[in-house]
Amino acid sequence: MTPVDLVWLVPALPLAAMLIIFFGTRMVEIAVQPRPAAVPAPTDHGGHGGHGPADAATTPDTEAGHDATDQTAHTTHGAAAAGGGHGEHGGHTPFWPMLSSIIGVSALLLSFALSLLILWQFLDVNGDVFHTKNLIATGKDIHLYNWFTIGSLNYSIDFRVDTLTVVMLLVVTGVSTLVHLYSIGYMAGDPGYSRFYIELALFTVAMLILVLGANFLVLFIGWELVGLSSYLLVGFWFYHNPPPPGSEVPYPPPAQLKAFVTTRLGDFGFLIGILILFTATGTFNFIELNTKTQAMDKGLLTLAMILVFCGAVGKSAQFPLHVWLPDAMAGPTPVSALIHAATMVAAGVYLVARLFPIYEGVAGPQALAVVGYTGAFTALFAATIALTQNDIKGVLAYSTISQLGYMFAGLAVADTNTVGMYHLFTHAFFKALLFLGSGSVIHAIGAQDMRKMGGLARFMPWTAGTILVATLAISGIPPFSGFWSKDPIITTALEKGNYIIYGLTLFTAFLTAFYMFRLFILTFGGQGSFLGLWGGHDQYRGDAHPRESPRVMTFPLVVLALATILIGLAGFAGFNQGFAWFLNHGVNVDFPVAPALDANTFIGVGAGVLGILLAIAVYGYGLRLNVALASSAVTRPIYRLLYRRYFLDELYLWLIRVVVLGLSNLCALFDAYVIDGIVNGSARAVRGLGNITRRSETGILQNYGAAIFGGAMIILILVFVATGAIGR
Amino acid sequence: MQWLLPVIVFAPAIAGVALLLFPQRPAKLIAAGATLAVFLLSLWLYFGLLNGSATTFGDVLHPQWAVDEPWINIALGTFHFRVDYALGADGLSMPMIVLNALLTFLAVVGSWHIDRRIKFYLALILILETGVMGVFAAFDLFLFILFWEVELIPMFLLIGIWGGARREYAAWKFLIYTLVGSSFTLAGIFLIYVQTGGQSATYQHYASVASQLTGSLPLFGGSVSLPLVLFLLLFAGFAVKIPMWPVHTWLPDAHTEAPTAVSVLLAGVLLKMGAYGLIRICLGFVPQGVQEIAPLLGIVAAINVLWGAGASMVQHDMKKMIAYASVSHMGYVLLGVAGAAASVGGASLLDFRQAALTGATLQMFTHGAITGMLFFCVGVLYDKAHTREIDIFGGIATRMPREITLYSIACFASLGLPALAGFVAEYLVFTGTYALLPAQTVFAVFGVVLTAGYLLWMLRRSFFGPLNLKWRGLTDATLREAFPLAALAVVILFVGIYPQPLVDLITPAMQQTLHTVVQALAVH
Repeated sequence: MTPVDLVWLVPALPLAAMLIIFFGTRMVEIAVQPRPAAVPAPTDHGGHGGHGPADAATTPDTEAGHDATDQTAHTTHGAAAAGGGHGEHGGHTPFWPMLSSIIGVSALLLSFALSLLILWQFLDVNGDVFHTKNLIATGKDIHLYNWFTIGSLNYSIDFRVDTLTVVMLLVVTGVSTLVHLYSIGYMAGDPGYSRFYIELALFTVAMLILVLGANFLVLFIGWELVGLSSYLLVGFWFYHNPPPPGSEVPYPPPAQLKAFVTTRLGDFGFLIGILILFTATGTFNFIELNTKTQAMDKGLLTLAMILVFCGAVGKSAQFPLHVWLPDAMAGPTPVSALIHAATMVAAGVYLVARLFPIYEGVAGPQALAVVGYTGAFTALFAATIALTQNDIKGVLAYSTISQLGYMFAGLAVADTNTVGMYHLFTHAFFKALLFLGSGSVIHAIGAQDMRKMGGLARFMPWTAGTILVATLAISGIPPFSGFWSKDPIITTALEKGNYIIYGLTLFTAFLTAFYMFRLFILTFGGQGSFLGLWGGHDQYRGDAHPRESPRVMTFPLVVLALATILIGLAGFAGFNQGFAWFLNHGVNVDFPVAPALDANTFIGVGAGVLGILLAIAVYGYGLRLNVALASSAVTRPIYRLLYRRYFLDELYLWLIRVVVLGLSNLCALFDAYVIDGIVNGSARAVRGLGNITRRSETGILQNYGAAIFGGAMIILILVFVATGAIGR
Repeated sequence: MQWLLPVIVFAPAIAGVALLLFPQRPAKLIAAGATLAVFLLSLWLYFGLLNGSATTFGDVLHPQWAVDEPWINIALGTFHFRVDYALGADGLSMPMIVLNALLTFLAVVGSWHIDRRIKFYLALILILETGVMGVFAAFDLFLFILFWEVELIPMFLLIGIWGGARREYAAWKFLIYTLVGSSFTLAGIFLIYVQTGGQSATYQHYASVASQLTGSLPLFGGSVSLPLVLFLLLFAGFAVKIPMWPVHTWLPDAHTEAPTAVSVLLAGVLLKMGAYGLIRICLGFVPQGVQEIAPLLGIVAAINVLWGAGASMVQHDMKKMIAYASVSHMGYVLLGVAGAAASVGGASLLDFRQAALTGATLQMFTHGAITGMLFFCVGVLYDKAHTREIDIFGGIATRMPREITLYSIACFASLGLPALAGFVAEYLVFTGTYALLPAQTVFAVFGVVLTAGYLLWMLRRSFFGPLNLKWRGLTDATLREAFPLAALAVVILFVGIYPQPLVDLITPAMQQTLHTVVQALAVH
């Protein structure tokens, strides 16, 4: 019994934790808490501005306001709850909910430890420790159980552990453990504390099923279940009041709906793609597909792979289905870190990486071209929006979309899936760090508008320091991890002669550095000596009393910052080369993952440095470029276009209102007037006829008999006469 | 063990008549006890058959524990009118029998609070159960249509007496629609009886001659294929029941007006009678007829899916929304059958045919459980709020945590979320039919997007957001109210995670049916 044989425990442990919390600690928690009165009294939730269901009752809500269907009818609610700002300094968590979180964290720690053991076993190439030789090349298939077999078609629940899966297992369990831990602080005192841990565990289970799946069936199950947990967690604070009009902060109830339905739209294409592949090959299994697709019609296969990529476009929030991800920030910030930055949204990248042998080797070049151009375009597109947003989580959301675009571009330009996957790997850590850091800020001041921040570094040195590390990493500055993963994408595009993707990604690198340092300075610094980071005047523009978050929250930040630094430093020792070797099943690949110290690399890093310098000039030294651009008559429309996110939300809403609901109304009206009109009309005609021919009173039952048999006989006679069947 | 099936079929009606003799409280207990006993017996039958000889069980030619006695035999010259008292169960009918028994039991539990003429109400529910059981268990076409018509009377009365404001309109609409449809079916039954020799109306007889049933009938000088005529006549009644677009408009009205438990039974099992007839009788006995029209049937199935989903999207009444959702989801059954019968590919696509047909049969079961659960959820809410209007609520999830948890499970099952039953059936139908009717399947698959849209939009409007203070006094579902919901949730989860036992039972029956279909293809 080696660790890899126990891989089913990796998802089973969080599943067990979920069930224990759901049926155990949470039930006890509900049983021991005092029964709420029919009308909830306004209670103090330890400073949680607007988190309790009770708060709805304290606001001057009117019953008339609910007659309108539109959410804007609710805007009269008190502003205290608006925006999902997470009160100051948290509250106290009672015993039973606390037990829930301890169960959750323990299960995840065990899963992570097991994943590490599996990694060790894979690295144990000669079988010295585990007596499993060369697992790195072969991987391991684990058959769990059969759904059913129909003829030669197998619907079975199989796991497969190979190097790609091991990488994902580590990323998912690692980041998830830290987020579980962090949430003890962030969610402290929340009335839905246990529910939060149930849903977080559900997500982890689903994501692990997704990466462990050996076939499309299992992968799709995980794929949809992460969608469910995303839906639940985005809507975690479903009882919040809507934010005031004009706020950039998303509102949970519509956001969760949008997230699920938009990704489902991508899944529609994904499912059709699966159907094409399944019909042609008769299998869902990835290994079998690698060989069996070779006999397929090239054009059909290419189409199928593009359709499969549609699923990735939805899940990984690529243009044009990216609109759900910024809204998904309505969920608690730990959720944004885990699901909407580090892991789930990377599932699309994982999907393409998983099917890379087919994309790269079997399907036509158009398939990867679609992946690459979608990714590169999205990278730039999202970065331009990020330039103008004021919501700290909004900027990070667009930055996530942009970085996911990089990953797709990396998958498309290189000969292996290593380049894209390596960016997924490093990005998971520094983006989780950015989100958890922003959560620390939001937790401290109860606001997420950067215009109400500034100078926070002096209050929150740990948060500021760790975020700086992540900001440098995402800007592609050596020696941080982002440099080693992002630069290869840009330089490979150049080497392969793909100048469009090269230009897009290079320019995006400049924008990325700019908007990330804009975020950093607006939040933690300001104008003044040392960018207002320390010394000098207080730069804080808000009215809360910021202080550093508790250690249970800063500890994960430090761990993630260390990971970002160490992975970066290990790059000098060839860590990324080792990653490529590992991901390619223990074979060294030709492709040089390590950026060479040549002119191309300097151009990439130079773009990042330029962006940083510009951000410092504008936001640290008062170069009023931003104000000029936003107010000049020429550039103001462009600024507005970016600030309003290219008006895509409005366009989609219009399409739904006019096209979808329009057609739906047509269906309903057709039923009500045309079909029912005919039905009711003929009923009236029959009744009229009945009045003429009525001879005597009859009961219901006799009418039945007459109708049933009389009708049948008439029809039968008509048929017989018409066909002449009787005469034969 | 031959007594088991007749007991399952007739015990409910006997109990239903008997309980009228008792006072109200014992009568309720009798109803609950009888339906529970029938449910347990049906499980016994199910597992008894499942563990029986796996090689012979499960198809229409080899029903186990079946009954077949001559009942009516009238000779008019050379013409014999013969009806057999034949009952049997195979992989197609068995899941429906279990589902009917379960839903009727839960319906009785869910009707516990009804005050108005409760005894009469329960008696009708029990007689309805017998009618529906008979439809699924009959192994003789005339017996089948007899039960089919018997079921109408209690349903008509249940809607007409215990229904909502427009109950009379809804009840009559239901009755007339069904009667007109079943007149055609009855005509078809006479015609197929005559055309296949006029000696026996048992299923075994039809199934064994099905592939030879060809030829054409002269029609006003031209000629028309006999299987097609037979199919169209037989299918008319089933199409109304399924309900197939465009003869579906009785369903939203009937559902909206019917009391909760009746809606559950209507959507859960009565619609399945149409789908059952389509598979058992149309596909099983006149496969060429289905084949000739399969692509068209696939198109209508896609219309069903999208039309139903679209109409659901704009409903204001929760029940009406779920009724249209039923129209949409029954489209998947139609699609699976159309795919299984499509004439492309011949025998080479047999596995895909089987996947499609198994999926359609599974969808009958899963849709029954899921939609039953949805109607129960609405019922719980309606009993407390006395309204079902989606937009009138708002944020009530905070007041009803138990209700929203179960309601969400039902909604997600309905929109085809994996690990819940609906996904298994839909996935099977899609993976099967795409090989046979790709264009129709693509359109039908788009239904999954719309389904997610209208169900989650409903949840968002009614349950999420700040609490509408009008509903601050709303209380959560009691344990008694939550029991049917939880029971169905368990079934839905079990089938969603481990569908093998159900599929194993269905498969042999489908193999036999497809054998006929492929034989008919070869003859063609």
